Amino acid sequence: MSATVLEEHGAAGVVGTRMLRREDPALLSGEARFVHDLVVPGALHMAVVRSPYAHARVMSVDVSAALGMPGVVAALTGADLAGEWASPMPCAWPVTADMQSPKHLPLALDEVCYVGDAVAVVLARSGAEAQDAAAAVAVDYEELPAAVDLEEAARDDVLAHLDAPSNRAYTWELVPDPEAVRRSAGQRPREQEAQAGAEAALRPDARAQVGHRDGRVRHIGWAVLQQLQRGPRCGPVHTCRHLHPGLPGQAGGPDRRLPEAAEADQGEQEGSPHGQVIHDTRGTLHG
Amino acid sequence: MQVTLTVNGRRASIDVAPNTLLVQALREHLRLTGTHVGCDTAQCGACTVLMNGDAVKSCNLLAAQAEGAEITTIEGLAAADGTLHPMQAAFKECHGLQCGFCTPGMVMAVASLLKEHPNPSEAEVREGLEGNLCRCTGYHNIVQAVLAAAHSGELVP
Repeated sequence: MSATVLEEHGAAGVVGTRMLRREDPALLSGEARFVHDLVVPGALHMAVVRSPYAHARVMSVDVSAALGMPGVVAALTGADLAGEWASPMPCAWPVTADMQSPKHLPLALDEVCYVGDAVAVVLARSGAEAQDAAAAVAVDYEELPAAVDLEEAARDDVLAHLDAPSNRAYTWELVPDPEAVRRSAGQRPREQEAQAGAEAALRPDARAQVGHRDGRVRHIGWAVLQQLQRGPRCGPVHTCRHLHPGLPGQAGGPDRRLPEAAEADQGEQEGSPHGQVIHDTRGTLHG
Repeated sequence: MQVTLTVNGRRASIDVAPNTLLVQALREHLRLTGTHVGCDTAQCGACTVLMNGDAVKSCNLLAAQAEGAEITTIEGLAAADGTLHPMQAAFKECHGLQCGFCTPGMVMAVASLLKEHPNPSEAEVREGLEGNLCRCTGYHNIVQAVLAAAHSGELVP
């Protein structure tokens, strides 16, 4: 497109001028196609059961009622898949060499550490059937104190993870005048840094994947980091091909692999010949 | 169950499960996918449509509640020849969108807002959009687009 713009306006006519975007009419008229708008024939649909608590022990997860509901192909808990994961979900940005990253599995085993932490998934023939069955999954929680304030969390009075000795993941040395550094080098003060770490797309789970007979997977959705981190679970990176239709909230995205992606890998293993689409972002929308 | 409603001027009769949401009826039964589902919890406003002229969040209404109603979605806003509605044109002109996912809900919400406040102040626009989240723009250009459209004289009340 840049070549065309340059041809039309010449370099001098582009630099320093205001350009109206060509993609806007489709986005403004409802004609644009996002991942959720695609129709994947034969796809399984996955709904996620999530924690309503910021911190809790998971005492039990019962999917038996969900398994008997119409259209349901599978209902899986963390315990069902504990032996399946090659590793906990990696963090794409190890900020310091000694950063502590608590074990984070795609489906929680015995502890949930944030509202929206996933405890079970249901795969069904339609999105509505998956969501109805997810509502029938019975989870027994024992609520624990939650660290919700940065200053309080830094004191370690309340631990965010039962298996981590401290809430501090890493330490960055503060320079004498952070404000001056921010102005000169574009760095952000601590509160903003924390805010940046909480970036979330409007619909972070936008993802569909389509398997082919040759074993390759066409993956439609968040791309680079998700792809790089996919390897340990479902094979080499070169077996996947990413496509990019419209993706919501691309202006700010997560640098951790989202649990939904790993769970979706599982859906791929569950025998859907064509692919699957994920439903339910409840608890993943941050304000 | 059978639900009959008028969507973008066309009468539609659809067979849906009783717990089908209006947004599911629009997206899955009528394939009008311009209305988006962002949160499932009425926080984000991406699913906003007009029901009998008023903005509603279609993820919080059953399709059955729209029986007999006139629904307008983002697909029904532009003129038949494709000419953008003045509000759509203002969003384009003022760079009121980036990824475009929240945009249909934003546009429908402000269409309803301007019906109630044809000459809104900036504060009224910001308050009127409190039920719609955008993750790209920081809202400023959306507010500028609404004010530009409101003051353009091109909006038919």
